[in-house]
Amino acid sequence: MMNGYAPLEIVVLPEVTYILIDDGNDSFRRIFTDGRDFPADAEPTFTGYSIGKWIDEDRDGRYDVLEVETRNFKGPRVYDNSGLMLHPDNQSIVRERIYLNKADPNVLQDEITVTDHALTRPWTVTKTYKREQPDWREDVCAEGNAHLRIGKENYMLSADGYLMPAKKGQVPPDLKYFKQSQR
Amino acid sequence: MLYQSSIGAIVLAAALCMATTGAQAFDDTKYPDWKGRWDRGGIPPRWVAAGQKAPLTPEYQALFEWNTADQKAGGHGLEPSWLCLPPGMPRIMNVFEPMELVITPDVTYVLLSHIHDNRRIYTDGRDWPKEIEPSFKGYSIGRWIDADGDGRYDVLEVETRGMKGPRTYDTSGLPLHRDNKTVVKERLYLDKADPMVMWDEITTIDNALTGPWTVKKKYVRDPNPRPNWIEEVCAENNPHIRIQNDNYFIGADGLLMPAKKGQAPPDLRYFKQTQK
Repeated sequence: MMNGYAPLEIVVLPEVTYILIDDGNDSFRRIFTDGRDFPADAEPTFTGYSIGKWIDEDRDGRYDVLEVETRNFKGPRVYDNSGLMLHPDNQSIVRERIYLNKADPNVLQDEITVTDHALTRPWTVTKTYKREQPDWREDVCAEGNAHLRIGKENYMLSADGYLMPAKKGQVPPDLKYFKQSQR
Repeated sequence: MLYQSSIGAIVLAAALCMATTGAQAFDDTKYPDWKGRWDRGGIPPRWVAAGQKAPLTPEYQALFEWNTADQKAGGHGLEPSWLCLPPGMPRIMNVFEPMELVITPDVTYVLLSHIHDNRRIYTDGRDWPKEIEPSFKGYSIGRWIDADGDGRYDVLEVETRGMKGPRTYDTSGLPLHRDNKTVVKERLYLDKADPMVMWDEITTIDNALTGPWTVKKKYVRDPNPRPNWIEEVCAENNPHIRIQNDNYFIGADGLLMPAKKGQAPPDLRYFKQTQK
């Protein structure tokens, strides 16, 4: 989610920081900063369960870093649309340090460390976001989506709405549930 | 530990309540306590109360009747959510899944984990933009009212315009006009006798109606101060698919199935003859 595929909005309140992402699924995160522990039996989700802590790193009396830990995922999850995947055991732990760039307050950085059994070691990536004038657009993944899945196969819908193969030489779906007289 | 820096011009619009230089702290005593998880008041997410009828024009009443017959035959009629298209306004306020309301001085956010149900209600005094890019949820401007004069806001009046379609009021397929000129007006407030109950008086002005239509929705607050939030993902395990203008079903074994009695299979003209 923190790839910044679509614009983010961060809403900071004392007990929760919300990260709203206007992507194809209108995703959002809640980062709980009310001092709670991780619950024993939270239902796994794609966004996970996030607990954060504010830090005043430069000791100027104002918080400047939000440290976050996220657990309790479900899958499948990939890092991006290359398909780089996380482990199907969904035991990932994601730690973040989110802060404004000291030289430019219109730049936000997120140091994201992923601990996951598909990795040989914790992996840290820094994402950078630039503050812009808000122009919120609605992006609906399902609208005009030409991809569909039947069984374990993905197919496509043509511009005229017919079912099409997605791969060269792909066989059509099994139509055994349709009456023979209608084929 | 591997480090990798990924720098790009990724857009972020940060609406920070407290962290912007020179910004005032948010005085939440001016605003009502709408915190927590709100569930629809124990009733199905339908727009029309039992025994009542929607004030549709004759054209749209006929369309609705066609829709009802199609749904009875196994189709979806006019109802778009089976494709994971957003409910849009006013249907979002059926609150199909639990709702959270986040109040900040400039925006009140309506957050639901459903299908693109999140809303921004702008309370910063802005005018309607000259051009609104249509969206299912529309563009909402709100105004806080201190209706009882006690120095604290208690009513949020909202107007929403700029919607796109198709939209229906609920899963019955009760339609809004295809011209998408809908205007939705709301008054949100806590029940005076019970602050664990919230009301939304929703007036829909739409060309499929014979006149403005007001419906009152009730929401009930979860008393748990740390409520359980559900993640609902429409596309996950959705067995409905659309090929051309027909809806089909994916069976438990993953195979394509008819959704209606006697339904023909999809046309496979783009698959090579040798593979049939």
